[in-house]
Amino acid sequence: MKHLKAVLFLTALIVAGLFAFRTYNARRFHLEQDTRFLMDTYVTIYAVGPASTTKPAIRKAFDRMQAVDEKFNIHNPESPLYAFNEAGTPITDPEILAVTRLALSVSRETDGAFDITISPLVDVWGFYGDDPAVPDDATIDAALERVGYDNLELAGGALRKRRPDVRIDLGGIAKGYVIGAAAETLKENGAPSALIDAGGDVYAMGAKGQTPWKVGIRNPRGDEILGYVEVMDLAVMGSGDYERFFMQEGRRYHHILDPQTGYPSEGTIAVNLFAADPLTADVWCTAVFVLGPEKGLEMVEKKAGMEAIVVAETGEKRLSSGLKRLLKALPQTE
Amino acid sequence: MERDSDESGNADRFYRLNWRDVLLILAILSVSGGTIAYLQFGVGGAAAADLDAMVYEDGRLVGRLRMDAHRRLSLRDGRMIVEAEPGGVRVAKSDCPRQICVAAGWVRTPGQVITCVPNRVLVKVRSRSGGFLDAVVH
Repeated sequence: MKHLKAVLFLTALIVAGLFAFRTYNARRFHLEQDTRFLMDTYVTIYAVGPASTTKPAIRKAFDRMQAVDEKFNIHNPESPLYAFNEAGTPITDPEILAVTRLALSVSRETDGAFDITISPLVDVWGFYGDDPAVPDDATIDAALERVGYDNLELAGGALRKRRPDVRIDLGGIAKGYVIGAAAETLKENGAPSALIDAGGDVYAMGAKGQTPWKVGIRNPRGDEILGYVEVMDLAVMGSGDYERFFMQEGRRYHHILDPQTGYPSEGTIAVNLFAADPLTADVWCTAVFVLGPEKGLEMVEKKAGMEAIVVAETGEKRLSSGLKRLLKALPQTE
Repeated sequence: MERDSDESGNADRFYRLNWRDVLLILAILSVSGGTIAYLQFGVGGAAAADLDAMVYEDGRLVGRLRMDAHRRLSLRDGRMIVEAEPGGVRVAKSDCPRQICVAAGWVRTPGQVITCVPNRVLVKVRSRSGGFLDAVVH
């Protein structure tokens, strides 16, 4: 009898220990999530940790995203970008200057394939309105005259115009900066393991408990998943001709315009770009799209820590050398 | 002294485990450990019966369609319809100008989403057992 009691006592002790371990882990690796409509899309933030920490951290991250998004919105009369575009008021805001500095350096590196002064072209195509249409050649040429990153001067802690009618739009890349700002806020508020999914643009910070985050990549012309990548402290941004487009006379016209031609960029239908910093990933994602599969991937190969998958118009999928090793097939059950 | 020796012998027997005890402890440990591992790491993939389409409108969760049979959810006074089939969900109808959400077609993998920006509607596939992917980029 005593013997049986000993065995039962021992097993009860072990089971209690395992239960305590599980309860501790459940709290430590609890996955909190919340979704909000921001930046014209749905943003979901997942954070790992005790709910008492992650819940307020997520709320603060969303608030920060909202504030940064408003600052970068060219249609917001309170934004320094609005004052710059409409009245030529020099910009001294450090956040806008940091984004502009990176954008200008990528413009120089890509010989203008990426250009934040593309705003007049976007306006004539009507991509921000409800009724986009192909403009005539004269309208495109007139808009092209106002496009050129060398019409901007960033010096002495201020951004100024060299030509009065030049306008800038950071809308295409501000998302990367906004995501980075949210990640910073999460970390500052005790949530260093999180995943931010902003309408298919993702930043994975830290790990999901004891494993990396798993991010799938969707085929831009189908409903299947091309594969997945395990990521930690990595941003995966996407640009595609399916995001914002219209059809005219049976032809698809998308919103990623080539600053050299004034027309939607040709040769690529989608790019997913991987980089440690979400802003860098966002800027280069658009640049690689415009450069096309050949030149774009060539550029990615030169950049340390940067990987990309480029889907050409032909449907051919090209992967940078590092990504070939990282991209895994989904298990059959998925 | 004899009494001490008896007590020491009883204690020895008390702590000595035979093979049945070891087997019992191992069985209990396996069942407990297995259950905990399953709950902790969510071993296994996502079957159709395990999938839900979570539908958000203006940032609020307004519907949850089980993706195990044909189901429909009407939104915005019937101007938008979300349709689920076993293993897939899509936006079947929308009054938005560019029809990007409708053109997105069926989505099937946990983490995949369809967004209709003009109607501020999000459809997101979720696996009740946690799913394999945390997010899908597109």
